[in-house]
This record gives sequence, C-alpha cells and structure tokens, in this order.
Amino acid sequence: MAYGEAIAALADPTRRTVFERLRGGPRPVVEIARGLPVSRPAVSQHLRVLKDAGLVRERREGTRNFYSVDGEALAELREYFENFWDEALAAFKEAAEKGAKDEPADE
Amino acid sequence: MNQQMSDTAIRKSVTVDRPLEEAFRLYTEHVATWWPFSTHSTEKEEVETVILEGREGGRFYERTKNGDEHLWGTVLVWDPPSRVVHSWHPGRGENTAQEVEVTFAPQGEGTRVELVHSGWERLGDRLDEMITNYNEGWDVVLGRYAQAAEVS
Repeated sequence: MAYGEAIAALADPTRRTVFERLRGGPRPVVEIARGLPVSRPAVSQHLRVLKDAGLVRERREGTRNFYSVDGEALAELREYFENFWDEALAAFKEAAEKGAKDEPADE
Repeated sequence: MNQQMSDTAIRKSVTVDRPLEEAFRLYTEHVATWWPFSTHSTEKEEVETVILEGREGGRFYERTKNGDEHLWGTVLVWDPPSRVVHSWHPGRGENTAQEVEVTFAPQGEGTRVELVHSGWERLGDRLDEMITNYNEGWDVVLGRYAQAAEVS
C-alpha cells in the first residue's frame, strides 16, 4: 500500500513535529530546526523522508531550500482511503447479493 | 458538514440484501470470498487469501501464495452479529495503527453495514485538521464524497 509510506513517515514523533512546523507556510531548514532537540542534519534527514513519502515539497530560493506541506498529497491520502473503502464495500455488496441469489439459505 | 469538518473519520455505508447474521458472517468469517485482495492488500497479486479471526484479539491478515503472513490489524471488539472493531495498519508498523469499526443493523429484509475508519489524530494532533481543512484538498475530498454518495 503506497500510502502506508506516508502514514509510516508521520508515525515518528520528531518527524511529525518537523511536519507540523510547516503548517504556517514554507520554511527553510534552519528555521524548522530552531528549538528542536535534534541537529540540523537530523532535521534535513526527516525532511527527506517526508519528501520521499510525498508529504513535503522542496523549493530552492537563492542559497536556501524552503520546505512546504504538499496539500495535494494530504488530500490524496484521504481520497485513497475513501476509494479503498468504497471499493471494498462494493465488493462485499456484490458478494452478498450474488450469494443471496445462489444460496437463499445460510452459506 | 460541520460535524464532518471536526471529525476526520472516514464513514461509509452499504445496504445488502441479506439477513443480519448472514451479512455479518459474510463480512467476517467469509471475508476471503469478497475482499478484493489482488488490489486491496500489501502484496497484491501474490496474496492467496485473507483471514479475519472471529474473536477478541484475533488477527486480520493476508497470506501470500508462498505462505507468508502479513498482519493488517487485530480484532479489538468482537460482538457478533452487530459489531466488529479492528486495528488497521496494513504494510506498516503497529505503532501507526488506526481503527476500523464495522456495525451491522437490520434494515427491512436486509442489513445496513456501516464502516468508520478513524484514528487520523494519532498521526499528529493537527494533522487530521490539516487533512480535512487544507484548502487545496477540501474540494477534491468533498467532490469525491458527493460522487460516492450519489452512486451508493
């Protein structure tokens, strides 16, 4: 499940803090790292994981990289599960009604 | 709509033409007969079957053609024929588990099945808020929702 990656990426509390720091808009690493009990390289590493999971975008401005939340990815994550359950329940309904016709009594 | 905005759970329902007990057993005991595991699983085409053990603490898992088992979740509440709740973490660690509650209620001659997928807040106190309220995403989500509602 591809979206497992995004969810797994956010399971780490530090990474989640890093991610939530992007809530107010694009920020450079130095600003994201400020006040966090981890080193800047560690923050960069977390950002890389978030980026690979499709949750964060990176944009270069001058000499600095700005990171921002990929809102589309968040919507897709939810949409994925909306579709997932729609499809699963549709399959359930189909099986239920096929079975009801084939075997009117218990299975 | 206000309730949906403050509550990020995904809610789905379907009504099937089967009495309560049968609908419950089909959903649980006979899950392998309908679950679309070639697409809705971690190993896709490699998956041979899916098993939901009907008891509290029972496992909900896929088994591949070469016998590997991958846990999707654990049964938290087993209350036949009206309710089953299981944790949900297919393809990821149990520390990222969410929850899926499925309830069954008689409706006419058939059964109404309601599914609630919750636990988004565990991925971050504000993440769920971000998911539902993010401007870019909101239209997409609601559009899909309306579409799904019209189909079902």
